[in-house]
Amino acid sequence: MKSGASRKIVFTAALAGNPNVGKSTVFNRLTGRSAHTGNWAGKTVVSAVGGFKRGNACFTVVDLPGAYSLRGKSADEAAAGGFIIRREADVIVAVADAGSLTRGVKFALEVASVYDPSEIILCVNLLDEARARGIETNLPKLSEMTGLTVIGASAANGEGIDELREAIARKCAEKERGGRERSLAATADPARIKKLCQTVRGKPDGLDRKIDKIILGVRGIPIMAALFGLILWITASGANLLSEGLTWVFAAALPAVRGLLEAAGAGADLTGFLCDGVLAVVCWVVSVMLPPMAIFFPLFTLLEDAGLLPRLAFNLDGVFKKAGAHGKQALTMCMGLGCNAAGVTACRIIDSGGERRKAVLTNVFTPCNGRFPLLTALTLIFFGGAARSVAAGFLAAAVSVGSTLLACKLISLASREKGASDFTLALPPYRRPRVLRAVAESARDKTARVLLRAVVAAAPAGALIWTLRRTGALDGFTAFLEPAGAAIGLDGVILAAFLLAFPANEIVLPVMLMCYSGAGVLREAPGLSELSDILRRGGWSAPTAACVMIFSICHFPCAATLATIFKETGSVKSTLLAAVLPTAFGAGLCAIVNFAARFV
Amino acid sequence: MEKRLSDLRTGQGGIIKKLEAAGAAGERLEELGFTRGSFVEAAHRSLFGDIAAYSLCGEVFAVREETAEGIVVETGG
Repeated sequence: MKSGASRKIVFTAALAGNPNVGKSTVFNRLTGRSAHTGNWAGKTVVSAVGGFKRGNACFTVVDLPGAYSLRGKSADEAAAGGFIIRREADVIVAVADAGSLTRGVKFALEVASVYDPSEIILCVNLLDEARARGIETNLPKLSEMTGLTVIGASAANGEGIDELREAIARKCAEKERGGRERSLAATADPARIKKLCQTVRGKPDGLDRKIDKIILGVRGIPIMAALFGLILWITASGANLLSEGLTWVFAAALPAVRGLLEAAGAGADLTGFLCDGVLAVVCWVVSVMLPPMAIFFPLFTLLEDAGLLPRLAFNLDGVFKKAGAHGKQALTMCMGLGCNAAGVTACRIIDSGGERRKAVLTNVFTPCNGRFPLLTALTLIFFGGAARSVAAGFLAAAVSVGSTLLACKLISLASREKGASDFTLALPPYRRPRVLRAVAESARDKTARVLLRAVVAAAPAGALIWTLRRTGALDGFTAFLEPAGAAIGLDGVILAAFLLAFPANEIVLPVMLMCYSGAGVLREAPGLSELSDILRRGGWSAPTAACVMIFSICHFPCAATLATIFKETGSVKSTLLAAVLPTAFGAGLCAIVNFAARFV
Repeated sequence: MEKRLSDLRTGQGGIIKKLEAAGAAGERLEELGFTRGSFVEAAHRSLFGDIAAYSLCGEVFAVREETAEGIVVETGG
C-alpha cells in the first residue's frame, strides 16, 4: 500500500492496542458503524473494516483484534500483530486505556519499532473512566516523552473523536507530501513514562475491589446463578404478556388483510396462499419468537457491559479445568448464545490448541439465538408459571453446560493430552451499563436479525413443505423417521423439522407447526396458548417437550456453524465429530428421559 | 522473605523478583506487566482454589495457580 508518485486519496488507518481498551468503541465513533462491543478482553476476534471521508480523501479504518504484543500467541493476537508487521496501514492508531497506561505505552512503542513514529497516533481512551477513579493524565507531557502524537479520548461519549479524525487526516497528508525524515521514538521505560505523566489521587480501584470481593468469593457462583434466574424470570413473565398482546394484534390484523385482498379482487387461491400460508407463518414466528428475545437479549447485554463475563470465567475455571477445558471457554459459550458460528470463531482467544479444539467442538451445546426462542416457548407452554419456568430454565442450562463439560472430558480422555495450560485473563473495571444502548443494540443486532432470518427461512420452508405434502413425500419422510423419533421420545415430524432446519435452526418451530396443523394451512390466531393446542393435538406431552428441548440443545450444528468449524479446525474429522458428538448426546439423553418418563 | 506468587495470602503483596514461568506463559505475564520490580498483591482466590486474581498497578488479572508458581516475589515480612 505504499504510495508512489501518483496522488493517493484512499488511506488506511488501523486501530491497534491491548484488549478491552475500547478500540471497537473508537471504531464505531470514527466510522459511524456498529461493531459489537463488550467489557471483556477478546470480544473482537475478526477485524472490522469501515471508513470516513474528509474533504476529497477517503480513510479506511480497520479495527484489529486486541493484542498484548506484536508477537502474541493466540490466533486473534497473531492476526493483529501480522497486520502491523506487514505494514498494511498508512497510519496506526495505538489505542490505550488511560487506566493502564504502562501497557498502552509499551504497545505503542513496540509499534514504533515497525512504523515510523510520525505514522503513529497514541489515542489515550477511557479518560473519563480514569478521571472518575482519580487518575489525571498529562497528555502534552506524554507526547513529549513518547515522541508520538497523543490524542485524549472518551470514545463512549464521542469525546476526542473529531480530533482523532483530524490527526489521522493530517498524518496521511504529511506522509503523502513525503516528509520522510525519520523521527525518533522514545526509549524510556513505559513504567517510568506512566509515573511521570499521571497523577493518582486516592485508591483508584476501591469500589471495584469491594464488588470483586463478593463476586469472586464464595458467594460469587450463587449470586451469578441468582442473576441468571432473575433474567429467566423476567423473560418468562414478560414474554407471556408481550405474546398475548401480539396475538391480539395479529388476530385483528389478519382478517383485515384478508378483507383488503378480497376487496382488491384477488382470487381465493392467492388470498389463501398469502394469508393462510406466508402471512400466517410470519405472524406465528413473530408472536412466538419475538417476546423472549426482546427481553432476554438486552438483559444479557447489560451483564456483558457491566464486566461480569470475565468474572464468570474466573469463577468457573476450576470446573472447566477438571473437564480438561479452559476457563475462557465460558466466554466463547456466551458468544455462542448469540450465534454458534460466532462462538466458534471466538475460540481463537484460547491459546492452547487442544483446549481450543474442545471449545470449538462443544460450542453447539450452547443454544444460540435461533434455538433459544423454541426453548423459551416450550418452557412457557409445558412447564407453565414463572417459578416453574425458571426451574425448567435452570434444567436446560444444566443440560447445556453439563453436556459441554462431559463432551470436553470425553475428548480429553480420547486424545490423552495433558490438560492444564496457562490461563491469564484481565478482569476489567466494572462499568455502569448503558441501558438504552443495550436495548437499542440488542434489538437491532440480535432480535431483528434473528427474526428476519426466521421469517426469510420460513417462507421457502413453507413452499417446500407445501410441495412435499402435495407429492406425498412429506408423509413418507415423516413416516420413515417415525420409528427413530419414537425411540427417543420424539416423533417423525420433530426429526424431520430438525433435519429441514439444517440451514437455519430458526425454522424448527414453523416447520413443526405446518406439519401438525394439517393441509399446510395455519388458521389459528398465532400465540402461545394456540401453539399449545396445536402441539398437544400433535400428540405432545410434557416429556415430549422435554425431549425436544434436549434435542434442540444437543444436535448437529447448523450449516453455517459446521462450515465455520471446518474453517477454524481445517479438519474433516473434527467437523464430522462436531456433528456426530452432540447428536449422539441428544439421542442418548432423550432416550433416557423418555424411558424414565414411562415410570413416573 | 521470598515467596511464590501462588503462596501469597489474600491481601498480601510483594515485589516481583524473578519470573521463572517458562515459554509462552512467562512471555504473556511480562506483557501484562508482571515484570521485575513491580508490586503485586493477591486480591481474590477462587472458590475452587485453582486460580487467583492479582492486582497490579490498579489492574486485576486472573492467573492460574501453576502459572503463578513461576513468579518469585519478595514480601515485607
